[in-house]
Amino acid sequence: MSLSAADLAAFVDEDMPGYALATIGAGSVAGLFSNPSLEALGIAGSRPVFRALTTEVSSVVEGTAITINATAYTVAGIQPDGKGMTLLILERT
Amino acid sequence: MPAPTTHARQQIREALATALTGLTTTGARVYQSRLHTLRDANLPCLLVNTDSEQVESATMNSPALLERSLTAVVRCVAKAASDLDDALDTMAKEVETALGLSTLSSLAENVLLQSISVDMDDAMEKPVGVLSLTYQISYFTASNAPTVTL
Repeated sequence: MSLSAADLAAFVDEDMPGYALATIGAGSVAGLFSNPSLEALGIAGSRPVFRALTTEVSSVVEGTAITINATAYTVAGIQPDGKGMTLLILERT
Repeated sequence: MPAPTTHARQQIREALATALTGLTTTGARVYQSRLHTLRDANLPCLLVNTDSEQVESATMNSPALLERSLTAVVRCVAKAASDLDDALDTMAKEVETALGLSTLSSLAENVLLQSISVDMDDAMEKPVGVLSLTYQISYFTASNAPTVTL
């Protein structure tokens, strides 16, 4: 079953946990931000990701600058789910 | 001077940490046998561990003269948004320079770099990397006096 644009938009409603506005270029994109704690090679850190409508981030490429909650990131990975949403893997600059 | 009371392994590990303290990149962030997770405030840093040790008897009498070869690993740990490999190689340069001619305050006969390995991981908000320098450290003790190097 495919989701309509209205269905997809409901996923990034401002009442959703993690809702954030990301600044990408001159515009802003609504989405869901999460930054869970993580550990690798014995080093603590986190895994910031931003999920948005694919149509809203279609111009994003690896290396695109993105600011969320006043923190600057670059896009390190792009994972479209094929159903209208895309997960951006972020790297803190 | 009173005889040391700690095992020579401990003396060597502490001497390694002393020799590596104050390097340009890592400063005082030198940790011995650390098991706890490293946080951003700890980085970049050096981890010093003394691992396995080969021991051979060099004499037939008792107490025997033991020829010991200790494996010590110095891990250079960094988190960087870019040029992580350069950061790790710079740290390796500083470590090798500091230990290249060292006998660790005369505790060791020699301190020889044996191998280097590198691990990197990009799963977090910045890439992290660990460059491990494995050293073979030769020293002698009497079989009944592991605290005194000969």
